[in-house]
Amino acid sequence: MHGFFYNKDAFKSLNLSVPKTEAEFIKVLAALAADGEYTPLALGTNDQWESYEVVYAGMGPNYWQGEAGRKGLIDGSKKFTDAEFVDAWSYLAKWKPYMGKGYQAQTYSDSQTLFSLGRSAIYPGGSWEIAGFNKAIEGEFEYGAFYPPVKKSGDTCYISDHVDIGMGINKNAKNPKDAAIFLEWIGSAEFADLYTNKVTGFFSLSNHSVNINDPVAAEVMAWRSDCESTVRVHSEIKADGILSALYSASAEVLNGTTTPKEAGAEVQAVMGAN
Amino acid sequence: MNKFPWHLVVFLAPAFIIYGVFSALPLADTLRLSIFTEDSFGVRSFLGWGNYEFVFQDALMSQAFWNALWVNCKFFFINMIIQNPIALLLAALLATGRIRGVAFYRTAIFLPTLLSVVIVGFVWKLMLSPVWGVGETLMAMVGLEDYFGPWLGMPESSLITVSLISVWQYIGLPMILIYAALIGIPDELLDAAYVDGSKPLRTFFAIQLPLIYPTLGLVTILTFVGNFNAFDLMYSVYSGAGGGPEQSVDVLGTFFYRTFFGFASQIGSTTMGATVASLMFLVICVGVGLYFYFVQRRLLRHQF
Repeated sequence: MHGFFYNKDAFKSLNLSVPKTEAEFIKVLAALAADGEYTPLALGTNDQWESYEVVYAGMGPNYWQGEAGRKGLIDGSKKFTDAEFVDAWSYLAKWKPYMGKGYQAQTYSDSQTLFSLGRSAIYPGGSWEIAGFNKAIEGEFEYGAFYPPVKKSGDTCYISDHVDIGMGINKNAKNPKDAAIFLEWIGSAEFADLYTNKVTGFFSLSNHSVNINDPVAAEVMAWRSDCESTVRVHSEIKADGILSALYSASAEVLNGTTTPKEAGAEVQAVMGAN
Repeated sequence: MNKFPWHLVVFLAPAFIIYGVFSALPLADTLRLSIFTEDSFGVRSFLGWGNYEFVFQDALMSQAFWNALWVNCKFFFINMIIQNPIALLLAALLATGRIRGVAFYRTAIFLPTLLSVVIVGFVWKLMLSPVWGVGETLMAMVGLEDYFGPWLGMPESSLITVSLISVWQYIGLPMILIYAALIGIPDELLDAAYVDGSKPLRTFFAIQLPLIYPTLGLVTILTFVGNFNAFDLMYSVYSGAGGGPEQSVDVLGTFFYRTFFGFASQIGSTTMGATVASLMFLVICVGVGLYFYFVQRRLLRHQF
């Protein structure tokens, strides 16, 4: 799942609370920037993929109402040039002043390291980071997670899932019965518990309720009860090259070299060409 | 009756076989693949010129191809303007015979060409990193810290930065070639010029330079072929074949890689990749052909 990780010690020292709306979020960023000790956002655009997969796909569903927007793109009723998609990019463009110096050449691992060293206060990231952060931070500071702030107080919030792994049986399998037993076990509560607790930051998609041991992972899992679920907006879109178009467009908007409207047109051109 | 010269076959066979299997055959097969198409199961069928039509007529593909070609031309241009003149200068300085420790300089300048391109890419990327790199610190030492920037991340500066990294790595090669040619010029010629009252600079431009034109031609061709085949430095600096910010470092090699193997959600196609590779071959052939026709035939070779 995509959201933000934050340095609890940094927030405490500046008397900041977890932002629930976008206005609050920008205020938090501004307060961190004014103080100067922490770089507000641990995000770079060199590798480009986080600009889309974590940031645009993670924050955007609040704009296009999650599944409604995503399904609209697939059946053709919506386009990336529509207001809700362009507005999501406009929101991203506001983050430019709060990213580190020279962020255009800051890589994904640079961002991870800056957060775990305690030099950046907020890290837009996916829950898969939790295991790595636990190891890298080694308890030097406390960190937590919050979900993407909504536009206005009271709006429905949306969480984008980063669906990564699925399993099935090959039609021509030689041992389908044994494979089926294995797959049934994967759907069981025992597996859900094992997977969610041993592979911290990854969650089983089954409906069993699991007791999560890691506090940050548990915090993230609790978002499901507050927010609607969706998946990354490019999922199931068949247009060739749509993903790298979204990478480029989102990174360019964060760099300030492309306007949100142009970004929408860029991505829609790839949609339309296929 | 003369016996069949078996010894010729025995001595030529290894070279022929290795060259044939690893160079000639794959090239021929690539050209063959480019006129085929493959379906989603990988089954290939004859197509004709359809792939080439697609590369030139599809809006996105042709834009990407022409961009890659243009970036490659710029890359070659930067190398020709910077790498080869500096190599010539260094070789000329080393060949004067009046520098102490020539062997040390020769070795030191040549050493980077032996480094793995992955190491070169990673180390330079780290040095230029605005987060932890020494680049900014070094510039601050000479008061230039205001001019430092995230050059690798910005489309205006990314290509020239990667080109300069390439120049840094490979300048030893043309330098050594030109140096070898310069020291091959007999001293009698240079002594005669000295006796006739020619100053060193005039001797260089009037006598030494014309005598090494064939080597300069060789260096140009090697630079051309090497630059149009460039791939590994861009791949290692940008950790993938993405082509850098806004495709500003996307050369034909990285464009080919993405087409053949796929990238992000773009599915790879061996036949379309073969088409791009064939076009690369064509571009290089045309360049080398033009060079041979217009330049090489007019070069005078001097035997000493």
